[in-house]
Amino acid sequence: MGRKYDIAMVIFGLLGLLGIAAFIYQLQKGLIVTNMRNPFSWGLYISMWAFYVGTAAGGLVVSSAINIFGVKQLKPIAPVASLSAFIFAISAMLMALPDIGRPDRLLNLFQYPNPSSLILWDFVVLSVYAILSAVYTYVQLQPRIAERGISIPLIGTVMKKEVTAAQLEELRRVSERRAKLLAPVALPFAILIHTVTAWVLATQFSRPWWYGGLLAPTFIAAALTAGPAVVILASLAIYGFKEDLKPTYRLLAKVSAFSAAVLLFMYYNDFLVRQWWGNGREYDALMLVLKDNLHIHAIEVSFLLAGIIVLAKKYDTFSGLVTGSLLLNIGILAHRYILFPPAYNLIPFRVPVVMAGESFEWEYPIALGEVRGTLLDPQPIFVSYWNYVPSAVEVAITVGFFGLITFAFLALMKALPVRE
Amino acid sequence: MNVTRRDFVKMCAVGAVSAGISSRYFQIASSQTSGAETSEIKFVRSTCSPNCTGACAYNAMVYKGRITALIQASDYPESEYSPRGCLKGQSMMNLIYGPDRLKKPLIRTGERGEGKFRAVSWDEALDYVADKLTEIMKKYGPESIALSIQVPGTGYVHKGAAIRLASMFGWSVLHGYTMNGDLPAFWSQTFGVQTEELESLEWTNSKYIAVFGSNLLVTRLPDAKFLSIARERGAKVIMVDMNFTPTAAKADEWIQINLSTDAAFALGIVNVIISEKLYDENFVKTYTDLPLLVRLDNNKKLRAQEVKALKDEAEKMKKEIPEYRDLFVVYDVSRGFSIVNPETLERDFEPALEGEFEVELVDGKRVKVKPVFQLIKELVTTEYTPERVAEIITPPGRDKAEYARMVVRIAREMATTKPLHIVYGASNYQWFHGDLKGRALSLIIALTGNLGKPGAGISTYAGQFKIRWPLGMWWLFKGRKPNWVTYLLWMNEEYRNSEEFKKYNRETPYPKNGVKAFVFGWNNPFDQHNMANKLKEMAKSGELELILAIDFQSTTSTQWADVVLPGVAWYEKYELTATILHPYVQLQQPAIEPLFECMPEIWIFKELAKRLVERWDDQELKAQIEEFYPDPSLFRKEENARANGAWNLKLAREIANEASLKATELMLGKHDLTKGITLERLLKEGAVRLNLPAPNKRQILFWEQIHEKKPFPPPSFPAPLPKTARFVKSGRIEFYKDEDVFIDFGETLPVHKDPFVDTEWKRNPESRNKYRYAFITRNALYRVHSTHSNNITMLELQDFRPRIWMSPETAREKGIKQGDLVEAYNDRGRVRGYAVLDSGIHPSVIIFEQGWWSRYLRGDSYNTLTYPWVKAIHLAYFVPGIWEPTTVWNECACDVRKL
Amino acid sequence: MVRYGMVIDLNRCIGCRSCAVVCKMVNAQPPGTWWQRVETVGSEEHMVPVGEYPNLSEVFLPVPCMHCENAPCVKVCPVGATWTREDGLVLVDFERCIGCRYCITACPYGVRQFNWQDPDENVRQGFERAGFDSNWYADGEYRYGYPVDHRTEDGRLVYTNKRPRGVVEKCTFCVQFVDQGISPACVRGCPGNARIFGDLDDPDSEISKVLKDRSAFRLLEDLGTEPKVFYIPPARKEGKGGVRYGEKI
Ligand SMILES: Nc1nc2c(c(=O)[nH]1)N[C@H]1C(S)=C(S)[C@@H](COP(=O)(O)OP(=O)(O)OC[C@H]3O[C@@H](n4cnc5c(=O)[nH]c(N)nc54)[C@H](O)[C@@H]3O)O[C@H]1N2
Ligand SMILES: Nc1nc2c(c(=O)[nH]1)N[C@H]1C(S)=C(S)[C@@H](COP(=O)(O)OP(=O)(O)OC[C@H]3O[C@@H](n4cnc5c(=O)[nH]c(N)nc54)[C@H](O)[C@@H]3O)O[C@H]1N2
Ligand code: SF4
Ligand code: SF4
Ligand code: SF4
Ligand code: SF4
Ligand code: SF4
Ligand SMILES: [Mo]
Repeated sequence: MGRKYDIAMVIFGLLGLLGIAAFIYQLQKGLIVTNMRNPFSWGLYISMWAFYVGTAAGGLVVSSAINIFGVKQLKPIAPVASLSAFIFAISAMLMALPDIGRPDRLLNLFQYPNPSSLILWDFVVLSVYAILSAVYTYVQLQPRIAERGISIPLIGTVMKKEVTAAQLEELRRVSERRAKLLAPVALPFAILIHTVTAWVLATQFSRPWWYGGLLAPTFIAAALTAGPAVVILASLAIYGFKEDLKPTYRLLAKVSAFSAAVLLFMYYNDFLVRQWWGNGREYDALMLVLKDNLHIHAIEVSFLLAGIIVLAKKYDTFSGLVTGSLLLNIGILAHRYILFPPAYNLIPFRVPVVMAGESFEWEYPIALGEVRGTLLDPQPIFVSYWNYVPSAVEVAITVGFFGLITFAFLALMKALPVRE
Repeated sequence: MNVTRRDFVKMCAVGAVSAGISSRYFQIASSQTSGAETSEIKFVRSTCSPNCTGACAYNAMVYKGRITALIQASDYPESEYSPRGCLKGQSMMNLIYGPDRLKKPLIRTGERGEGKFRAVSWDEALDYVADKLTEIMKKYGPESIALSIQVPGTGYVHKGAAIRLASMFGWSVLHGYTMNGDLPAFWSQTFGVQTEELESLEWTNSKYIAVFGSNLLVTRLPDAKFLSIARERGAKVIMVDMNFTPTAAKADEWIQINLSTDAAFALGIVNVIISEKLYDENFVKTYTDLPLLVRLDNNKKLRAQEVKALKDEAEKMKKEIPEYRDLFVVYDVSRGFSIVNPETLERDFEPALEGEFEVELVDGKRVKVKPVFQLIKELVTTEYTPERVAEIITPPGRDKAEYARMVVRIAREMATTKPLHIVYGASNYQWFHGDLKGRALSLIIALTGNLGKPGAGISTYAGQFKIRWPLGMWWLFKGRKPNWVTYLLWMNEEYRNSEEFKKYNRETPYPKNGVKAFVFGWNNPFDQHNMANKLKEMAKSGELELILAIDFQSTTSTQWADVVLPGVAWYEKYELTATILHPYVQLQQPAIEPLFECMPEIWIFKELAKRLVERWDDQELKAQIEEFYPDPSLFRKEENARANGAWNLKLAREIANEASLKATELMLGKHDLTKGITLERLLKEGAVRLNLPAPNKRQILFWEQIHEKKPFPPPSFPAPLPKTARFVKSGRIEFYKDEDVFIDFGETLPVHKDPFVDTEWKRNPESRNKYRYAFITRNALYRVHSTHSNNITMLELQDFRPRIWMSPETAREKGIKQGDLVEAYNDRGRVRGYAVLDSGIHPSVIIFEQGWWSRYLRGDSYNTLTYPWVKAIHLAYFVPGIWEPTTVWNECACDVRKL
Repeated sequence: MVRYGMVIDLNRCIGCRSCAVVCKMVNAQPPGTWWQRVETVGSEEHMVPVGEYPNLSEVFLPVPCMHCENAPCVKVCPVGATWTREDGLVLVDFERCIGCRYCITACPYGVRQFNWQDPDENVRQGFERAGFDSNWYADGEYRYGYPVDHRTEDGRLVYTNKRPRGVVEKCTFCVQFVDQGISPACVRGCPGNARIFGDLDDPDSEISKVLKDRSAFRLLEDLGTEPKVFYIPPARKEGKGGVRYGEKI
């Protein structure tokens, strides 16, 4: 692992630095450096936030599955799973940071919380979830830490204790008991983070692409697709493709593939319901997916399908697992991204206009918040469609933050005694 | 407290008083805005007065010496008028403080039009200009200097100062009215006046409002609400326009007709009114020339002196009437041929309106005569039957039979629903035969007796150019008079040298050495009046030896000037405004000190006058120059300060302000119309109504003629009555014109003539096939002509884009899609803009909204396409701004293509 | 209790956009930001008709903030920066808003605007696009707009002309004027006399009377936002041949 690990760390570290630099640039200039504007006010950052919330889920679901449902196959990778849960919960919150216009005022969340705002609850559940998964990881690793300590670069190994075998055994028992106690608490939160995140969007009556009861279940399905897939990748990285882990991988692959299938089912079920009536705002939202954003839809579906097939068939090979998990994650990423264009480009304020016996819904344009173009090629101020494509800065921050997250994850993996 | 909402709004308009108000509409939520800071906000009432002539009252919100906001003052005595104003007036700060604001006097360093200048001191600039002007005056005569100040009504003091200067030396003044094409020539031809109109409050008294091509919702924006109120009160509004407009949208009915065919439509209506006997016989007999007899042998009206039986009586009467009148003859049903007294409209005869009579002339010759009415009847029953009218007016692809039925229906509605008010739009008369259309429309009004009553009449609401009362005491320096130069003759050398001009011109002046210097303020001629690129050519060739611009901001025209003098906007000076339509006299007050080194125009002209007098050999003027300021002591005060080194801009401004107030006082209270209107009242009350003759001092057309039987015309200031009364020698509303030029061109009676036939197609027969579209340059919501072209807020509302409107049909033919960059062009020039497909546009029309600075047009000027046509009939008389050749922007053929 | 509302009479509205402009100027909105818009319903371009000859129409629709009774923007704001004051005004606290823009997503009327950058930068860019050589006001320090900060009784900053970057803003019903007993700028600045502002809870107020006498509607009523801005629909036209004769012909 050594050399590869170092190279990876350098790459992810550099990416992280790039992200931080981009973030500083954005802080200086304002969110104008993104391609979001008044009519399209959430973009890549919030998609990534939703994505990371999803990947965070997998971890705890896996580890708690062991403790609640006794799914023994998963036990070996439990610490990795819960650690990934922690990392991604933090990532989700971190990803929201560049989306905030006034990060300097974040404390207002504590000072003036508004209970009817689901963003606030999302923040609460995510925080609790992050803490829980941190604690959960610690609880699981406690015996090993006592045994092997945490190795921090430059400082060396800390927290290592001289323990006897009996003490160790005792520690293990305690750890197991505590994990069993924590699991039932953590699991609802794992579910909650998706549901509440989904509710942030699903409560918006004026956004038919989101509004309704189906969004939360699809969020959970997406989480159960991305989460295990991420755990597979992480475990492969940490533990490698070991014979004794095969059942574990197999199970994870099945869960992920099955969830992806369920997701697709729910998704197309929704499509059908929207399509059948052939008219109205719900239908128009769908048309925005099938027309303007067909390329993204094609990515999400083809990757998900390919992922399902690969994982269902090749769960026993290293390359199959890696490919399948990557495919599913990319699919989910696209699935997260497509949450936004059909939501924003269906301007909620639409006025029915009847003329010559025909009627259409006219979208009341929105001021952009910026003057664009040049003297000889001026661009409109008021638009009812905003062709959002993430700006270079948004991509840099997103990629950079991913680098940072991976860097942190890898560092933690190395530092913590996650291996048996 | 029992207050109406309006009263309340009025009270609240001035923030300072609001604190004490406890109304049941507002429970004052207390706030923590520090009282001290709010009390630093001051409000100054002034009047917005660009060339739209809206003269809307504003309160300037002033904080720390800067105008932070402008909101309508809403303090009109007739609360219905409040709040007057519009988006341009509200965002005027963008111009006052904008990047184009002039800071110091400029003298050109680069080529003309290049826009390279050096900033200089006032002394240097003024001396430079004075040297140049003196040189030109000496070389070519003072009349070779042409001055343009645009609409006089928007600023009596400072524009007056410019004329005062011109009058000192006898410069030639370009009358804005004809220059802009805003002069509706039918007024002088028919009624002998410059213009007349109803004030907009009177619209609410109409029961039928027929708008012929006037986009009231845009171009009379602060008055447009009265159209809604009239409808709420049960009036019907129709809009006759070849294009759909917001005004058409508000109207009950939009009638789309072919280009410039309004005269045919009107004559079709006249046909129905006459054949169905829906006319007001008494009115026609009493006030119009319709009973007067016309000789069939020479097409002239029958004069009493020519009639054997009436000669003696006529000669006696002739001595009693002014020289500008003539004695005409009617056929009295009981007394036979009778003379009509042109000095009264009191009727002591019962004329035959129809029939043919034979009369013996002094020389014994017997000639056939017919009443004008009979001629009109013959004309409309042969040429303008509903079916024939439909042939002319029906747009392509529409049902002609339906149009014929529509003509009959509209005629009946118009004739039977009273009071009827016709609004005749400027754009509609800015055609070569615009005067014919106006005459035909007036005929409907006269036949139906819709004059002299509330809510009745015909109005033209162009830029409102008329001055409201005589102003010679300030405008003319000690009674001296300026000369005049006609804009179109200046632009059109070819016509100036033509046979037609020589044949018909009788008194239209032209400087003998041509125009050598061009001095302008309050307008932007290099965008607005640069027909077929003439001005730029004259600037480039050096034919113009000096171009002097006075403006408060740098415009296309200042870029072309040799010297630019920075003036001020209407929140930086005292000024008197009294535009037409709006029946009030108002004062502009300085809300702030002029920015940078900008100076009130009165000071600029005084300084120029002073320096010119020093260089000009006229002892009388030298002795009188202190009187340039209405109070010579003010002049001396400034000179003394100069002499002892105490002079500075601030002092000069203070003195100029004082002089402005003095000039205001000088102009007020001398005439019946302004009796009792004092400076104090204006300062205290804001807007004070003129003493107009109609009840409630309302502005109603021809009240005195209809009710007091005074002959036509009422005076048109500043022209003396003899100058204008000669247009209607009978003292009546005239529909038959018998000057030779009318006879030669077959326009003795109002008739319809097709557009382009006598202009574009005559000049270049090929253009008929090559340029199949009419280039209509209408006025924009977002600009007052070119003012506000650079207003960033207005630009935002237009996406910063000049547009070219066309029908989807045209677009299809030309392969143009919405938003494409397209070009409208002809042999003379071009303009580029983004295509707008508008199914309300007539298929042979291309619309461009005039007023864009060439900065926004990729360096082009939309007036390169237009051409300075001269209509010979406009040379029959010359009275500046009342009867002289007038510009016809819309008589312009073009084609359009995708770029 | 007072409960402020507004009526806009679409018969009277001439689509002149003065309300939008006066709002922009008085409330110091930088280029690109518009608290109020006026558009021609159904048309891509303002003042271009919709329909086919002869049934062309132009209906102008001014849209300020609706000051919804059941305001989604208030519900979603995580920090209570947007809230409903006792008199019904939905306001934004410039000092509390964290700039999450959840409210922009929530508001169905598209009236909320975000300060994507320093507003001075908007001005600079605006001038640049407008083709000015120098790209700033001639008087460098000049800014339009009501010059004094305004705070509510409990000290919350609801109006400032020095707009902080990264926060959301919108129509305030001109809180700075209403608190001084003065009507909103767009009501005072409407040359069409199309707007009435006042207390909906006072049965004697003009607004209540008008709402009693005439049928009015609200925008997107089915969303249940319960706007306090009411519209009087455009009336039918007389059309062809329809003349209402007075007593005398
Ligand atoms: N906002 C604003 N208001 C202004 C001005 C401004 O610049 N901006 N300028 C002021 C001045 S100085 C003037 S002169 C007036 C001009 O005011 P208007 O007379 O209203 O002028 P336009 O807007 O040019 O044209 C109005 C309509 O005339 C129609 N039209 C053109 N030719 C014909 C025709 O032959 N027959 C018929 N029936 N219709 C025709 C056009 O289709 C157009 O819809 O506006 C004044 N008010
Ligand atoms: N093709 C075409 N051309 C047209 C027309 C058309 O319909 N088609 N319309 C014509 C008509 S009707 C008219 S009225 C003319 C109007 O044309 P112009 O009279 O040239 O009007 P504006 O373009 O408004 O120019 C007014 C200038 O005066 C300046 N100004 C305003 N107030 C003051 C002041 O107080 N002091 C000083 N020093 N300067 C001031 C402004 O900054 C502005 O530059 O355009 C005509 N041109
Ligand atoms: S631009 Fe004309 S209509 Fe508008 S506020 Fe000024 S004077 Fe009134
Ligand atoms: S200012 Fe009045 S008339 Fe003009 S668009 Fe606004 S509401 Fe309509
Ligand atoms: S219109 Fe929008 S911003 Fe205004 S109160 Fe309603 S939801 Fe909030
Ligand atoms: S952007 Fe500001 S006002 Fe809007 S929801 Fe977020 S914190 Fe509240
Ligand atoms: S009430 Fe005030 S803030 Fe709201 S739209 Fe009108 S002017 Fe703007
Ligand atoms: Mo004009």
